[in-house]
Amino acid sequence: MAEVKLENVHKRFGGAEVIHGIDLTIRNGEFVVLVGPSGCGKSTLLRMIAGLEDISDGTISIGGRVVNDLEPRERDIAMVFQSYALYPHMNVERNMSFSMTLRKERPEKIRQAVEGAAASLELRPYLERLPKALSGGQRQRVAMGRAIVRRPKVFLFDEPLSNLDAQLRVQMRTEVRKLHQRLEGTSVYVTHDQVEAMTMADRIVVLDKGRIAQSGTPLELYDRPANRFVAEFIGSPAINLFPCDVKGGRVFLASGNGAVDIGPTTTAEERIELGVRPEHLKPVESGGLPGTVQVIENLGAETYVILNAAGRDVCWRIAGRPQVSVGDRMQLGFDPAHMHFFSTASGARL
Amino acid sequence: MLVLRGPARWLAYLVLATGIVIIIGPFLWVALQSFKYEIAILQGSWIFTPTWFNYSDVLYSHRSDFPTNVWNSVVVASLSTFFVLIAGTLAAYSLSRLRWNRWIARTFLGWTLIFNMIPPLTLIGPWYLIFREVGLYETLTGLVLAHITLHLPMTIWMMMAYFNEIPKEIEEAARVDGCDRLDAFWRISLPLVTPGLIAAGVLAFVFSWNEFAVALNLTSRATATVPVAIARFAQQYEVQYGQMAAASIVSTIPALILMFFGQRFVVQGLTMGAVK
Repeated sequence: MAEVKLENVHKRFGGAEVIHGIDLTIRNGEFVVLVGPSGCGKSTLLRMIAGLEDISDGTISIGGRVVNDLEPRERDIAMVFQSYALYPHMNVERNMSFSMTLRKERPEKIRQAVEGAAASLELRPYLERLPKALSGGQRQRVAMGRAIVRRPKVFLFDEPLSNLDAQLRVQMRTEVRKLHQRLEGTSVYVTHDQVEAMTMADRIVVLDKGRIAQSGTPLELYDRPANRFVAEFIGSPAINLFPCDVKGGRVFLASGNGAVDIGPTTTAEERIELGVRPEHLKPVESGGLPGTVQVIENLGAETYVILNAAGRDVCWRIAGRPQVSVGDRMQLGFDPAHMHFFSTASGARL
Repeated sequence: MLVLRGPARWLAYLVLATGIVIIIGPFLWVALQSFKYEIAILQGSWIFTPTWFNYSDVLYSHRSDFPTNVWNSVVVASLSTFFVLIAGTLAAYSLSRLRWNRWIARTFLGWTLIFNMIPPLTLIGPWYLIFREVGLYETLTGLVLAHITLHLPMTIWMMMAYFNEIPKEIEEAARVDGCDRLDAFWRISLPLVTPGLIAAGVLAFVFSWNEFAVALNLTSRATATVPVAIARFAQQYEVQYGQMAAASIVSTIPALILMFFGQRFVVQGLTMGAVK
């Protein structure tokens, strides 16, 4: 277990800068998820922590020791790759024991470590098999077993579940989290899936074009996004965004039936954006945003109703099964306690 | 897979049979001559009494150098294959895995490609002069060096295809697990390209074994290899057809054995990267 500290970390490929001075401290035993869209630099950052990419500028420390110039093997880390990266010519047992064999540990100690990890991951019947004879989920568990046997200070996960089918992914999500709690290691987990981030992280770091857009607990990010990018990225279905005008200290949302008065504001900007999570919309009799029901998505426990309102698709999420049909006209009201305002120019929260 | 029916099927069989006859026919004809006495060969007889005379004359006669020639070929083909595999594998790994400047890598690979297209005969003149200067002319060492040079480009390209097929994450996982780069190469990458080593090794050995032009010009009677020896059965005043045929058949044995065991890898190696 160790603290991972990144100070003003930059990464340049030729002339192109992909990481722009990241400062981040991952505390002992913390499970931090780096999340962001493709190309935001999250995997590059993880690979820099692992030592698989050089650092153009800045400092990375693991357990108080600067590791900038250390080889991956000297950093006391374990990494689970998206493609599993198992050694195809070694059976499961040899895959899992490889790091200990390299360290020339006693055979008895190696056997105990491998059997312990195999038992916890339900891999005992497969120890003699080659990776090609395993299913995707089993391969993933072997990759995790390999990391466990290494007994590192820091676990690094690079989108480890993205090659699994949806059902297995949910199951493995829980497994990874349980593993983290049991081993009490420090974990850095990269994903582009915000559901994975929300469900697994102690803390989420949202990256946007090589910069930290926001860092905080999953609920902090959900309830109080620091900017439009985070608001859009975190939450499924995505937040509803409406362009609004500010007149005389009040916010107005243009709709088919004239402007809807949203409420007071102190901003000096003339045009801002209103963000409302789908579950924070509610049907009202009058004075709301008028819309027509386009699509109804029943998920059993909850329902997504997609309406056309103010010239855009708006998602209303409701528990249970609402009595609405496609083509119904209705008005949606906003809960003042759950409205987010963003600058149209900078995207920052107002 | 394309399934042919009716006349198309018979036509396909006919084309296939013609191909086989064209390829195997000459070999069978030579094999037939190797079991005839000289007189039967010169008469062109199809009905004859088979004899092992040509084989025993080539292999056991006191006046025959052929066993020495076979040994020379074994030495040259084995050593050149060994060194070509070492140099070619390391070069291919370097080009595939290390972050070379793109221009350096392209220039190197482009040059190997061009070198592979140059007729070997154009290189014999310079080699003759160089080897005479350094005392390697008419030595097996000189011929081994020449064969390494000739077969290195093919080996580099083949091995590169194999290294490119290995996901780089596997090596990265090994580096995280505790390997340095050399360890990762030795313990992970090299075992994974074993089929490539077999394929490239078989081809380099067979090409070296069969190489004639360079060997003819850079060797003496004592250091001649099998193809040169076979050619020397045709002298100015006498052509020893029977011995020539027997020596030709004997010379194909190592290549046949290697291709029999390595064929699967050779086909895989030559088509590597052609389809995903």
